[in-house]
Amino acid sequence: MNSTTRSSGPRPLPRRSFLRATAGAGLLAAGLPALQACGLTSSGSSAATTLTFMNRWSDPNSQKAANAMFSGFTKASGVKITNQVQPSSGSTYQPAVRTAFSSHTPPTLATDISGPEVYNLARAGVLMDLTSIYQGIKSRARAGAVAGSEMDGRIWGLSDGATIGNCVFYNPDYLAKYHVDAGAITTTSQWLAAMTDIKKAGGTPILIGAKDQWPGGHYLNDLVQRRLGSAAATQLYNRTVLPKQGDKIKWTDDQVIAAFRDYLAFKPLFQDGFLGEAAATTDGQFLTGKAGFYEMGSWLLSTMRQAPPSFTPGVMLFPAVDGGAGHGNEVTLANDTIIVSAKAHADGVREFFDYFTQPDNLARWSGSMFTSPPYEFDASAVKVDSPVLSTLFGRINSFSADAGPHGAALFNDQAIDVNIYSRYIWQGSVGLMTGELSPEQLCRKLEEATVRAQQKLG
Amino acid sequence: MNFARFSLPAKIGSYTGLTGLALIIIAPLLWLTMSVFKSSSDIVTNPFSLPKSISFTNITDAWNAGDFGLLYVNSVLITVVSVFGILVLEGMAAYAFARMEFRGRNLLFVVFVAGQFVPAQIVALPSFLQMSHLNLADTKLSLILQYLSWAPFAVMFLRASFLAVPKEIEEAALLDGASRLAVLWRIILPMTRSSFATVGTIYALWIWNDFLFPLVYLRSSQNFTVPLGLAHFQGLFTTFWGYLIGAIFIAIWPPILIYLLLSRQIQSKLAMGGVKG
Amino acid sequence: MSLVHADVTAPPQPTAARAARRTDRRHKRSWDAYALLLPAGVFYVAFQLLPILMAFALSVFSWDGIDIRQAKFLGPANYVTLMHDGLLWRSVWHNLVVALAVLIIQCVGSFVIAAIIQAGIKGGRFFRLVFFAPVVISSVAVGMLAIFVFSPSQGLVNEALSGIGLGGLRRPWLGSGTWALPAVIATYILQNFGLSVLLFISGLGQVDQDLLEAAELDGASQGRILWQVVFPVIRPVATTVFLLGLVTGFKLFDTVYVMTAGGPFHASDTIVTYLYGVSFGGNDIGYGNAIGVLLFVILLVVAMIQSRLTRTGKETE
Repeated sequence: MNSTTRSSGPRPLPRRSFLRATAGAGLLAAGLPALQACGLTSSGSSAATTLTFMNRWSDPNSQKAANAMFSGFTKASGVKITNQVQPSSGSTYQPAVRTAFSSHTPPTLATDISGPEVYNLARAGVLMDLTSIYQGIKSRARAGAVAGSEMDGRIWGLSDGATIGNCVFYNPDYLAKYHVDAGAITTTSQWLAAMTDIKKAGGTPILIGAKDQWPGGHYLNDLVQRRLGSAAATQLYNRTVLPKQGDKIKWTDDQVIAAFRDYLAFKPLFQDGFLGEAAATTDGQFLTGKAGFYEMGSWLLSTMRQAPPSFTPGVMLFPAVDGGAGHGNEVTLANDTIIVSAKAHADGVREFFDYFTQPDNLARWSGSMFTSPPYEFDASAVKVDSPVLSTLFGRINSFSADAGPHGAALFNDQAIDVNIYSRYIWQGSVGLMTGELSPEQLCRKLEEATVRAQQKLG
Repeated sequence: MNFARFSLPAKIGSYTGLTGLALIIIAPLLWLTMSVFKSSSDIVTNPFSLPKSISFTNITDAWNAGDFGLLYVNSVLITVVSVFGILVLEGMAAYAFARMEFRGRNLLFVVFVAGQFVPAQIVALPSFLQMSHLNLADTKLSLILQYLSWAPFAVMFLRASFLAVPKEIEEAALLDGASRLAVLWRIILPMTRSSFATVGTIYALWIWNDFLFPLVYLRSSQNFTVPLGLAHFQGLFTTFWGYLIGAIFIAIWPPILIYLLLSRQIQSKLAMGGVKG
Repeated sequence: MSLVHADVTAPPQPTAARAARRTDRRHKRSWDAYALLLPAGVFYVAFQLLPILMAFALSVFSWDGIDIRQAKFLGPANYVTLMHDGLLWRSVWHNLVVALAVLIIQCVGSFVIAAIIQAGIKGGRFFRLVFFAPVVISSVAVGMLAIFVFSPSQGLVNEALSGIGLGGLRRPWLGSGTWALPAVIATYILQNFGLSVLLFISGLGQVDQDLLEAAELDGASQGRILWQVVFPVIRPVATTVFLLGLVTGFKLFDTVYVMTAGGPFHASDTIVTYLYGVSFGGNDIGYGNAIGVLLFVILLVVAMIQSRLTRTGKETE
């Protein structure tokens, strides 16, 4: 090992290390413009005349549709718009919206679920009041355009489309093998009886991807709506998010407990191991003809476009419940809302909503996203390439038409306070199925949480 | 330790155990590779049969839909810059802790190390607000700055590695009149090269696979990293799982292939070290 | 290697004249040292410590994550809730199970595997490659793959069990209150043990070959060699591996969240998945941060215990 010889012993370091440190700092300072050049500091949001639109239309088809809509808007209005598409998972998207609106550079527009998410953001003062913009397009709006985004008489969001949450898809060929005619089913008791027959004959009557928790939440939504009716269900849900709602309808009422108990009736009918199955897998299994029925929202049509089913599916609404106050034609709406940042310039936003609600654009949007935007447009102008999907979509749209203005309720995952919803509906639905919670216990917890929420809301 | 000298049962046990483990790891990867070439419906109807025909659609569709080319560029850029920075910054700090006496050394060391005991999930939001204040929200630079602050493990590990260098060698050189810098550069660093390689590898993995900070910091897809791209395919209600399998395939194989190619380098560097002669 | 203690002595001072400069040099060395610490310190303080302190501060507030100026001061209310939160303590228990599994299976197991490979088993290089390959993959991707593998109706695990005639052992893995956590732990360990193996191999490489040969010539058994020759050299690496395993085990999030989101009904909740649900699912950032503080305290205790346990013996490590 060689040693380096120096004449005067170990040299003092302070100057050198200090220089090194300041050099480092200087490098950073000088480097920043360099980093900027290679795009390290570029963010998506830029000039004032460009709108930014945060959304969760992240699957390939939705991205295509959204980009087409955005470029159409730019062509028509000359206003640039940037598509800030985020991963679509609800557990990450909702927090991302809140974070984005609380930052220094919020997006101009964003999609969000209606209901308490919108109310909370509005209360925090980060949203633009859209009442005047809404007045401008009110003539084109149908019922549902501001469902879940109206608070204290002001409008905080405009719908970009609603899907129907309480559909039941079925496989007529599969059912025919077991002599079941879905068209003849009008009540849940008939439905359960038919499915029991299929199970006894060795078939798979119905699938559920319960591992993901929200499919169970669907059943609780559908059953509560059938037992209470849309208006009463909405009143119940509102107690978790709006102040001074009283307690006319409680979670511990007989009909609600009965609804939760109804869910347990499905347990022996679901496929083996359903608690450990992901919804992605059951989607695929249903579409490749492995079961008779599948409860899912109308967004399943998007999945079908991606992975065409091996049969011609039929669709019906969740059947009526004997002894329930709701009708079998009432629909659950999952309303997607567009909210606007309080820091945005109203003009560009007004132009966007004006463009979006033009009947031609609505027809195109409806067909590509399989949603029903609650504005006036010609349903026959909606182009869906696949005849199978076209039929299904037409049928689903007829559901909302038949339901009438009072026959719709917001999906429980939008209408209920998100904290209460995740704990007691999502998680709770699994607890019901594993037997850890009885319907009475779960309803009691829900009622306690709701009472607490009412107290906090004043 | 000599394998040849193991008792017979030990030998049999070793082979069985290690082979079993290897099979358990390989099987899912094999299944994934087989499935990605099938059509969407085929994956569900025949999960364990060989594909009837090889179709690259799942891979190409997922690659394009997720824009993985751009994502890979972003991930590589961020990872390389961050890892390099960490090795330099923490190397300096670790050397100070290992070889220098100064006031508050113990306290400062504990402070440096304590950060790893806090879960990133509670840091992410305040950190984002901070970046937003600095006008760095939604930039790749914000991620790099965050990763450069991941001092604890590197400082701990590199300090231990500096400490393991026998002082006699250092002292001999210093006695001969070498400057501290020369000692550091010519003697200590070469001896701790394997530790730097180890820390670099570990941090590269951590940073490359980090999901939380890109999720919280970034909003524009041009800045997204590979793990975020994967998340696009798992929607809340809809999952295009032909794409999903394709996306998982894309997320899994490139790192493995790169590792296999570089493994010679990494292995030799990691196995080196110690004081021989 | 203990957390704090290090034995550093100044270079020998052969002449009295130089002794006078010792204090001088130590003083200068302080500034040297600070200068070396400064760059790393700037980043660490600015982008990690400050947010950490802010997060800790927020734990006594109630905040839904939107406008921080509207956060409400609560005092110790969040911590009171924390004490009585049964689900949280269940998650702590789950993490203890994880930590135990990691220590026993991963750390000890990795050492054994590393020793076997280092001893020269045929195919050692192949095994090293296969075991480390999953480490380089994102745990999100591994989690997604695991969902398919554990699928009750068509996953590898159940199909393999049926295939070898053990169909009775089929389970709804990720949907079972008893098996969800073990399934997640198994996935996590299988993905990560390769790193520990690699670290141990590099540590084993430092064992003095001469001493090894001498012991073998003496006729010592493999076990004895392991104990007397190998262990002492391995200790610093082992300490790192153990601490890393414990800390990452307690902070476990990605794998669990992707595979089960803490389900079914909190059966596989870890502290951090529970925290995440509270903060971002329930929009109660303050309470979530209080849980984070709890985790910090737990990890500090774990680290101190580990540091004390490994301080026995040589101080120079």
